[in-house]
Amino acid sequence: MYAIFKREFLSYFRTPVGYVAAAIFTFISGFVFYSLFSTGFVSISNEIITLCSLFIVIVPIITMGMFAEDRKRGTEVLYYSTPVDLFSVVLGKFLAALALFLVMFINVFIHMIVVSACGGKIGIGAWGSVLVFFFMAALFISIGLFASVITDNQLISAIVSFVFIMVIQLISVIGTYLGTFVSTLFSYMGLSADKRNGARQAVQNAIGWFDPFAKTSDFRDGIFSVSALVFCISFAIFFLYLSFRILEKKRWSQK
Amino acid sequence: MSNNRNFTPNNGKTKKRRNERAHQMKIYSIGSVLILLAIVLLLNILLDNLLGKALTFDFSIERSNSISQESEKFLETIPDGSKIRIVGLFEMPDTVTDTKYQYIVPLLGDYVRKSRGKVTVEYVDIQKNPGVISELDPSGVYDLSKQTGKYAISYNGKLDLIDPINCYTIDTEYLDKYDAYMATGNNAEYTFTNSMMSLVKGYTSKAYIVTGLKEEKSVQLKKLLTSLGVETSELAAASGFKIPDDCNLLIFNGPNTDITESMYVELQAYFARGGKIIIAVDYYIENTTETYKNLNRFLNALDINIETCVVSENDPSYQLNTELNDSLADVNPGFAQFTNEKKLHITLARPLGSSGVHSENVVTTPILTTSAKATKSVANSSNQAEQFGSDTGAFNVGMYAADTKTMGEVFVFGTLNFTSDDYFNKFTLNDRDADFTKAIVRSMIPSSASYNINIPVKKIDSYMLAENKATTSTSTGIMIVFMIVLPIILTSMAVIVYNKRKNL
Repeated sequence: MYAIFKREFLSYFRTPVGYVAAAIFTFISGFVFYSLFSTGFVSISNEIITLCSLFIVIVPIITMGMFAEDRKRGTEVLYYSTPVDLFSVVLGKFLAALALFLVMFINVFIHMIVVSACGGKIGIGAWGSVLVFFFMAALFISIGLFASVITDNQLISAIVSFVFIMVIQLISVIGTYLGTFVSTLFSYMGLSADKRNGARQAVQNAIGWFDPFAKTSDFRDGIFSVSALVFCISFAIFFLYLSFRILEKKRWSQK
Repeated sequence: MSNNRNFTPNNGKTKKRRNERAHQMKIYSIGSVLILLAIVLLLNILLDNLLGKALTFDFSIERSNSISQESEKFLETIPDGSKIRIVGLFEMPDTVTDTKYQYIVPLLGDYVRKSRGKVTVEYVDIQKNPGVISELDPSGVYDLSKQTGKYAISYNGKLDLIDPINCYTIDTEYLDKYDAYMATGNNAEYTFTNSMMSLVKGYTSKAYIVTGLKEEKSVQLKKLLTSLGVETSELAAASGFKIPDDCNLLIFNGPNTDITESMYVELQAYFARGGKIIIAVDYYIENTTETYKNLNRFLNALDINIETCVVSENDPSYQLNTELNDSLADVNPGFAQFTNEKKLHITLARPLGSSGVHSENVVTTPILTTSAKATKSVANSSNQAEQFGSDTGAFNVGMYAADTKTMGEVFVFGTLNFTSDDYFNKFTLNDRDADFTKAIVRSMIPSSASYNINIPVKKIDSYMLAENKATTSTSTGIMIVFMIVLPIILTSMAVIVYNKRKNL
């Protein structure tokens, strides 16, 4: 697994992908930091949370070529024809992408140093946000990796992961709309306001339960919830396993 | 050829075996994925519902996002099956950090977690879902459509409103200098817990509103008192006027005629045994000739005298809509704890002068004072205002007197803006004057204070940078390095790598 991790991680810097992703991240995080700094108040947790909305752009860029690139170069067959554990392949690629995020995140660590040097405060919320950033990155990378496994084309892979992440980012909004829809539907059926509200709330809660942003939003305020982290990591494991199963299927259906 | 023919049956077997194996693989794959999904869902649901609370840790400064043991104890006293519904009258923002909701939203989440279903919190945009207004306030007393951004707390038909800004202690110097709020302390838990407590505890005090003096209607005042957990009852100004023993607060809401001799005696006796009284009068068509002889006899002993004229405010900065008799009055600094406002609204206010009587143990303090340019006017026979006297100066229109020995207290207002239906109907029960009345009632009702939970103000994180370091040049430097230099270097490297690979 280490060999795959090393190869994948270095490959980000042997192609423009790693540099482009890092450049985008550096520019946007710099912009957010500059915007905060110019007001005289810098909350690093605020910056990190804003950066979490960048996953929708960065993750597809990083993950789109994970397996599609191998397929294009014809090296994919090596995974299937050699006695290598495919889960190690998946895990190695996943960790390499996560490591790239760590490299990009150096920007934020530098911002923290600047804030401390300028008399600002790095509260516990900032460290909570750092934790959330990496757990969320793990979740979204696993989704991007899954998108890369199910398609042969890099562009389609990027679009699929983009759509997946967008849906997750908008899941609370979707829940609100569906809740309102259900409530309206019930009002046509003549149900009482209490029942309508109950149904609206139930739909919103049920859909909102899958929102990782809502689950982890308290970290920035210094509230650390283990269950929120378990949510991110368990679904990341699920998507990694799903990717592994698809690769396994491909291995055994090779002629 | 013959070999091929011989192998045909074997190839068929192999193919069949391969198909079976592929089928088994498929079932195994789908099965294992479904099992894992079920495990993941189950694990998360269990963690959320069973261990979520135990595995949540508040590392914030002074645990500002968690409720204290005092609040937890109060939550346990809420009867089973009862529900306190907290509704944020606004759409939940994506991020509450650095907003007035920062210390409130997570705290309310903790109320929900620790109340075991007794407290619910929701956020409703009242423009999009106006139905919630009639659910919370069927009689429309609180005019919730104009309360966007506040929290409504509802319990068994009773309602209280909390303005988030009132959950903080404010740097008043900063407010004066920049006309912006700078929070210095977090009072959110105190505010919410005590609000819930006053709703749940119900009527622990009783206020009597004196009737039969051609007084103002008190429908809104009763609602205001009810929202504070004060039961209200009317007390008729009959010949055998007697103030009941369970009277915690006696209110004269805009009497247009004077009290009787026997009422004066009873009032004096009530005050002497530590009674709390609010008296509000004004100067209007119905009472322009009323001198309140007996009421003044009582008040004169406390160095207060209700005058028979109206204050005309001549300072434009105090006037509202250029009306002389509808203006602002300064709040005496001694009453600043009752309001965040520096000025309150007065209308048709009678001046409250000094009687010159200085009784032992009685402390008399002005509450509201006009500008130094105010004058006094009276209504002539055709009800037109005429200058009264030649004095121009600052006149008191709100006075407070307390007997330090018996603990009797009297708040006297020369205006009805703090008690009347007319005013509350126009400006709602969330107006600054109504808030002032609420604060007065809270301060006077002893039983209210006895169940008030004292939760200390919590500190607030400050993310302010040092002014001498966070300069414009530093800011520009940050922009150049992080937004120009570093991205350009990285992009250049991407171009170099791309060109190298292209040539491979």
